[in-house]
Amino acid sequence: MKTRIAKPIKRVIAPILLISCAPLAFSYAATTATASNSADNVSTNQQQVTSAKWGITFAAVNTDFTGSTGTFTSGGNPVVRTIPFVMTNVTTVDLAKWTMRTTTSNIGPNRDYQIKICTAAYTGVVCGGTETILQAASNTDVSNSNSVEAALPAGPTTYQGLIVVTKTNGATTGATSVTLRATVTNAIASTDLGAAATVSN
Amino acid sequence: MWQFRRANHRLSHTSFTVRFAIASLVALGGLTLSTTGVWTSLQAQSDNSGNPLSSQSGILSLVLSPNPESTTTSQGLGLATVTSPAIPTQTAATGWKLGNTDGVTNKTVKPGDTIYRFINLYLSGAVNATGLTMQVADLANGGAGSALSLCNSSTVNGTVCGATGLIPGLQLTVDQCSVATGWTAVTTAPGSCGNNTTDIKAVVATTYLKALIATTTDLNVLNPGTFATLTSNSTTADNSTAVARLRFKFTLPLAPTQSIQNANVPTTQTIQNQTSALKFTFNTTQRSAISVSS
Repeated sequence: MKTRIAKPIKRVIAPILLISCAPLAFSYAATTATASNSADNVSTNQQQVTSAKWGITFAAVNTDFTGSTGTFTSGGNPVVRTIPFVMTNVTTVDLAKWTMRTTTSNIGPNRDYQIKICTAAYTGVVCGGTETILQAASNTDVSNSNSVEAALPAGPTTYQGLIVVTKTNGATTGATSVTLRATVTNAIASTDLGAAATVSN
Repeated sequence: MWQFRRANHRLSHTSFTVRFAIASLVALGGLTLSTTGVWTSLQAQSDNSGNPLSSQSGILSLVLSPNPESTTTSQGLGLATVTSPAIPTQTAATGWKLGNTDGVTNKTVKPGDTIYRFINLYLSGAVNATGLTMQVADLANGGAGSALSLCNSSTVNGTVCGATGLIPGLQLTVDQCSVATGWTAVTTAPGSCGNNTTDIKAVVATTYLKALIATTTDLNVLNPGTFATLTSNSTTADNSTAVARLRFKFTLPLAPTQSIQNANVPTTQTIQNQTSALKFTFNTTQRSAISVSS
């Protein structure tokens, strides 16, 4: 069959025979269906999850608060001096308790101090909203004294604070300074946060 | 002599081929004439043109819906709008975040919290399906995810997870309700399903979200056969017609102590104030081809 006619015939016939005898090797991918809560990656459709944060400060973030009464007059007892502050709660969940650390100076038998916060502004020493006494009147100087405080009144994240120092007797005129630090701790054994919740919503 | 024989052989071979080709053409011509000849005969014809056989390819479509669909308070997996089938559009603009564990305003999750969410999946087309898989992605931080999805109890990651166990990460459990009444009492954790024992089929055992990211989870493995046959029903949308009635349980495990002074909340290596944007994608496959005679 080595002729001029045979060659083209072989070239045409052979591939046809090969194809006709080949096994069917094509396959069709199965159709799938998809559902998503964010098929278009629109953020509002995704399941947003934000974990809590916790903390309180009496001053700027990561800063202890320190305030002073200035010097007192020698007479005219009782003499009342106040130290205002602003307390901010950045905790995003319920707070069961927290710790205040206090350091004072020149507090004694003739001079006491009191620490309180208000959900609104103070007028003089009168709270215009709900008042919480963090430290009842005391005439004992303290240094880095920790006290566990109860939950804060609900509502604002910012509270107006007032330290009231009263010279009740004597002629000592030295200023009283107060330093405050707030600590919120989430510990497995005893957390300052509210109890863990199980909800369905 | 040799050249003469070779030439003669070539001539005879060529001659045979030519003759064979001519004979083939003649035969083929005759065959053509015989098949195209005019034959006079009576013919009858019948067709179904008056009632043509209608055929239509089916549609395979999977729909994700919060459960229940009838209220604006059910939040499903965060999806805000479902349009097909006719599932009411949710209008609650707030509260899509996972949480609400401390009332309306605080929508954050603290260590130890557990939140349940419920969804239904429907086949809205006409084609049945088989199998169900789930993919989870955390699209937060440009798709990089967050500590909630990147960390688990044993992960050590200097920039995100910190020391071992510092950030436990979010955990997820998924259960299927196998009865037509579906999940009920969904606003009271953990919801209810049938007899609350054997009617509840675990499809994703409790695991860290980290293990589910960037992988495909076959929801038919823990309880084989649970999603073997998914029946299409595009006319209604309720528990009875859903092909999957899933309960999602999110848990943020208790975390090691983090004591924060003067609100100095850390921004790295912490479980605090982490945000994830979770994308859930479900896939099913059309049912096997069938041969019927009808």
